Parts: sequence; C-alpha cells; structure tokens
Amino acid sequence: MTEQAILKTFDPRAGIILVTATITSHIEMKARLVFDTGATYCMLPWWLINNLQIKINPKNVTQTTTASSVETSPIVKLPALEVLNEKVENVTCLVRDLPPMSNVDGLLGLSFLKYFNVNINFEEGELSLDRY
Amino acid sequence: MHIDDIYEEYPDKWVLVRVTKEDEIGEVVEGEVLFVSDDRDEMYKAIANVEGGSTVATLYTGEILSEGQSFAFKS
Repeated sequence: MTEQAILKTFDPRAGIILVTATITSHIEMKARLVFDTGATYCMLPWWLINNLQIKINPKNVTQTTTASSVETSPIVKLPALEVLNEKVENVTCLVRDLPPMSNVDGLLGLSFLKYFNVNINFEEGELSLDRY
Repeated sequence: MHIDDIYEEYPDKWVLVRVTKEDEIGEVVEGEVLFVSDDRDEMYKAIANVEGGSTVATLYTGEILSEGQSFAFKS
C-alpha cells in the first residue's frame, strides 16, 4: 500500500479548501487553487497560461454554464499538474480569469480530481487523494 | 526567506517567489522574493522573466476570504 500525502492544513471553517498545485511547463509553477468538485475543468487565468508558454488555440473552446450566464472560454492541456504528490499529465484546463477579489489563482476541478478517490475529513481538516 | 516572513514583510500583496525549500506535500517553506504587486495580473506578467527550469510560486499574503464574503464557482 502506498503512503498517501495528506493536506493537514485546511481550515474546515474557512469556507473554501485551498490546495497548492504544481503546474509543469518550461518552469514549475506552484499556484493556489480552490478545490472545486462542482467545476468540470480546472481553471487558470489568461496571464498565467500565457506566461507558462502554454499555447491557446482560440478555436478550441467550450461553453461554460455559470450561476448567471453561459460563456465561451478556451480550453488548453496542461502538460502536468501535481497536487499532494499526485501527478496527472495532459490535464484539460479552462482559460478564464476569476474576479480580482477572489485572491486565488484558479480552480482545481474534475479534469484532475476524476482520477482519484477523494477523502475529505472536515473534523480534522485533512484532504487526501487516493488514485484508483 | 521563510514563508512566514514573506507574509509579514509584504502584507496584502501578490508575491512571486522562487521556491528554495518545500515540504513533503509541495507547500512552499522558503523562497526568494522576485516580484511584489497589488495587481495579480502584473505578478503573472513577471513570470515571463523567470529562467527556464526554475520552480516558482504565487502567494497572496492577505485574507483569501474575508468576513462576510463567500465563493460560488462553476466551470
């Protein structure tokens, strides 16, 4: 049985679960993402994707249904995304800016999370990813 | 510089750091401050100056979610 990495520091009272995700391109970039099982895709902002030298094809888009509207955004493949020592390659990611007041880099959505059984212990503030 | 010191020295800022030490789950422990801004996009633009092969991290040193604020995302 492999040893699972567990995020022990999330605060169950904080209103969100924040994780550090390492994106690999020509550099390794550690971004702070909101853990979001309600998001189909991971999501990162335009300037970050551009400066990670990840090519955006304006014809490769998807429609995003939000709480208030339907919007069209580009999707890209992240070469690799790693969270809690678990790495997934070619992760589909929506390119879209969160509002400035959000104070995070983006979302960790199902395009990454679907490869794992996710364990959240709110009592202890622990999160682990169990690859199946 | 220890991450706690970065938070203390640059409160309520977006900070780009070159990671010099991380813990067993990849969280930043120590780093060298490369760029500090009030503007998140300006910090992202500074990534263009980072040497290939480096490990860097973005930090927001203020409150992520203030009292009376909530998040609802869908993508």
